[in-house]
Amino acid sequence: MDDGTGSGVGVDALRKTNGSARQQTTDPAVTDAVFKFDNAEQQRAMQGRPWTKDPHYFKKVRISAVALIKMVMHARSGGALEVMGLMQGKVNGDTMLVMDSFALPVEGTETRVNAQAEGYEYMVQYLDKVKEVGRLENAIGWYHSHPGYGCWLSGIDVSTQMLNQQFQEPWLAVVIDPNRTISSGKVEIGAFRTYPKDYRPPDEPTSEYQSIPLSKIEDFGVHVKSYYQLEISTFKSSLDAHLLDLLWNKYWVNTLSSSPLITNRPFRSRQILDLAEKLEQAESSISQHGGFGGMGGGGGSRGGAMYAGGASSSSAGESKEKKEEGPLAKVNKDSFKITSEAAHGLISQMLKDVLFNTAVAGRE
Amino acid sequence: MQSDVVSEAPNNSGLNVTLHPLVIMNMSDHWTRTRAQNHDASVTVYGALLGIQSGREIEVFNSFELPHVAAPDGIVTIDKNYFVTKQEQFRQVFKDYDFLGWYSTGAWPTRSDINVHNQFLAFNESPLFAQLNPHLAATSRDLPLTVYESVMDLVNGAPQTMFVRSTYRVETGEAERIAVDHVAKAVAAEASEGSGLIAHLISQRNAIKMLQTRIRLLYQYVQDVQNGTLPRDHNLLRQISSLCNRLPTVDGQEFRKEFLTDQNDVLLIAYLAALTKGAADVNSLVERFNVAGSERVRRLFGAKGVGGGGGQGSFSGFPTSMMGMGLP
Repeated sequence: MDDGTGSGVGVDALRKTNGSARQQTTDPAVTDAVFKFDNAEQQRAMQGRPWTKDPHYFKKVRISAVALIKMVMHARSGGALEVMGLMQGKVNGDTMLVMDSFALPVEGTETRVNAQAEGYEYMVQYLDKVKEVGRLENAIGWYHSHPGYGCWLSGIDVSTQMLNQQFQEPWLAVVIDPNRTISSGKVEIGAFRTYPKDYRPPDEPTSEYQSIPLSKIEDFGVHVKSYYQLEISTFKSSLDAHLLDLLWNKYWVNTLSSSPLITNRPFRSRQILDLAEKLEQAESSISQHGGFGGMGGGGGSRGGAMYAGGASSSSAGESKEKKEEGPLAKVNKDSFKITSEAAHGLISQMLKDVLFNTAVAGRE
Repeated sequence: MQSDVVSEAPNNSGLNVTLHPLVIMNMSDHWTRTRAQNHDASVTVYGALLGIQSGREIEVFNSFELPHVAAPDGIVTIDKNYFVTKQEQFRQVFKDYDFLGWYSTGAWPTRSDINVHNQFLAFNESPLFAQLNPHLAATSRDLPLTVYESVMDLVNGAPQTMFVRSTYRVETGEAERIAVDHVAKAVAAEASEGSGLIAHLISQRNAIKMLQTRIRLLYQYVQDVQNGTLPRDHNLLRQISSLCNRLPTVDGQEFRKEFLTDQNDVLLIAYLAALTKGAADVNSLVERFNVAGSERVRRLFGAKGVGGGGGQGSFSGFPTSMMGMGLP
C-alpha cells in the first residue's frame, strides 16, 4: 500500500502546526490506484485463505472517506436506537480496505440490532445493483452503532461475527458510537474480528481502557477475550483531498455555531448518573477489601490477625491490581473524561461569548 | 468559454439550496473510482441527488450513482429502471428523502446535459443539476461545484430549457462535521492522542482565523470605498452595516443567566472530578501503605513464630506507629 493516500493533504493551518513532515502527493495515478478494483488480484489475495491459519492474520483496517462519513451519519441518524449496515471492500495482505458502506433497513432496539430476512434480501439486491455503477467490491463486513456505550462487541455481536467469519471470510465488524463522537469531538470507532471458538488468545496487555456503563459491563467482560481490535486509519483520493480543503472554506462556520455543551446535555447527565452508580459500587468493594478496613479497625486484635493472616493474599492482590486497575482508579478516569469534554465545551462557549457578545461593550 | 445553454438571466426562484459534504464526497468518489477503473481521465459520471424539500428550502443529504448509456452521437440515456429500483431501496432506509435532482461531472453544461435533464422531469418537475469539475479542484480557490436550476426560455421564438445558476450553501450535521474533520485531518488526529485539548483548541483557532480573514476583507473593502479606490455599492455597505449592528449577538438577562448556569455546572463537574481524583489517590496510598505494613509485620513477628491469629492484642499500637514511619 502506498502511504501517499493515507497521509494525504491536511488542512492548511494544520500543515503549519504539524511541521512539514508530510508532503503532498501530486501524481493522482499513484494516489488513486487503491480505488481500482482488480478481480484477479483479489482472487490471488484470497487464495490459500491465510486467515484460516492465523486467527490474528488481519491487523489493519483502512476506511475510505465516503465510507466513514456515511457510517457516522447513519449511526447518528438512528438516535438512541442501534442501526446497522454493510461495508464493501477488499483485502491487501494483512490490511482490510473498506471502500464504501451502505445502510440496511433493519429495525434496531436500544440494545441490539439483528439482521433479519428482509435485511438479507435488501443486501443481496443492493450489492447486485451497485455493481452496475462501478462499485465492484464484495461485502467485507458489517457495522452497527452503540449509541453512548462505547466501541466493543457484545455477546450477540460476537456470535454474529463468529458465524460470519465461518461462512463469509474475510469479514470485519465495525462499531461506532455516535453519542461519544459528538461528545468528544472525534470519531469513536472500533474494528474487530473474533477468534475461532476454541482459540485461547495469548495473554496480551489489556487494551486501552474504555468507559463502559455499569449496565453493560458484564456483557463486555464476558466476551472481551473472544475478539481483538484492528488498527484503523482512513484514506482519501487526491480529488477528495482537494475538495475537503475547499470544503473547509464553506463549513468552518459550523465549528463556531455548534455548541457541544448544549447538544451533549442529555448524554452528559446520563454519563454522570452512570458514574455515580460506579462510585457507589467502588465504595462497597473497597470497604470489603483489606484497604480501608485495615486502616480503620486497626486498633484491636482483629486488626492484627488480619494483617498477619492476610499478608500473602494481600500481596498477591496487589500484583493483580497493577495489571487491572482498582475500581476507584477506573471511576477516576471516567470522571476525568467527562470533565475534560465538558470543559472543552465551556471553552468554545466562552470564546464565542468574547467574540460576539462583548466586542461592543469593549468599544464603548 | 461560456456554455450556450446557461441563461444569464438573474435567478429569482428564491430557492435556498443546501448541500451536505457527503454528497460532494460521493461525487468525488464516484468519479475517482470510475476513472481508476477505466484509465481514462475524461469520464463523465451521473447520479441522483436525494434530500428534503420544504417550501423554498432544499436540503440535499445524500446521493446515489446512476448507470448511463452514451450513444455514438453523444446522446446520453439514463437507465430509468435502475433509477426507480435504487430510489425504492433508499426509501426503505431513509424514509424522508425525495428525489431532488441529479449530478454529473464536467466543466460547463452542454446540450447533452439538457437532454439528460429532461429525462428526469418525469420524477421531479424542477430538478436541480449539480455539476462538479474535478479538473479544477487542485487549482481552484472555491469549490468547483455549480448548482443549476432549469427555466423555460424563448430562444428565437421557440421555447427551450435553459440552466440558471443557483447559489448554495454547505451545511453539516454535528456528526458529519466531526467525520469530515476526521478524514481531512486524519494524521493529526492520530498524532495527538494524548490530549484532546490541543486538537480542540486548534479547530477553534482555525475557525476564528477564518472569521478574521473574512472580517478583514470587509474592512479592506470599506476602507477602499472610503478612499475612493472602489465604487460605492450601497447594497453591500448596507449589509455590512447590518452585520455590525447585530453585535452583541445575544445580550439578554436570560442568556446571561443560562450561560452562568452552564458555566457553574461545568465547574461543579470539574470540582467533583477533582474530589474523585483525590479519593482515588488517597485510596491507592492506603493500599500501598498496607502492603508495606504487612511486609513489616511478617518480618518483625513472622520470624519469631508469631503466626496466624496468635498475636492477640499485641498489635494494638501498630497502625499509628506505622503512620509515623511510612510518611516522611
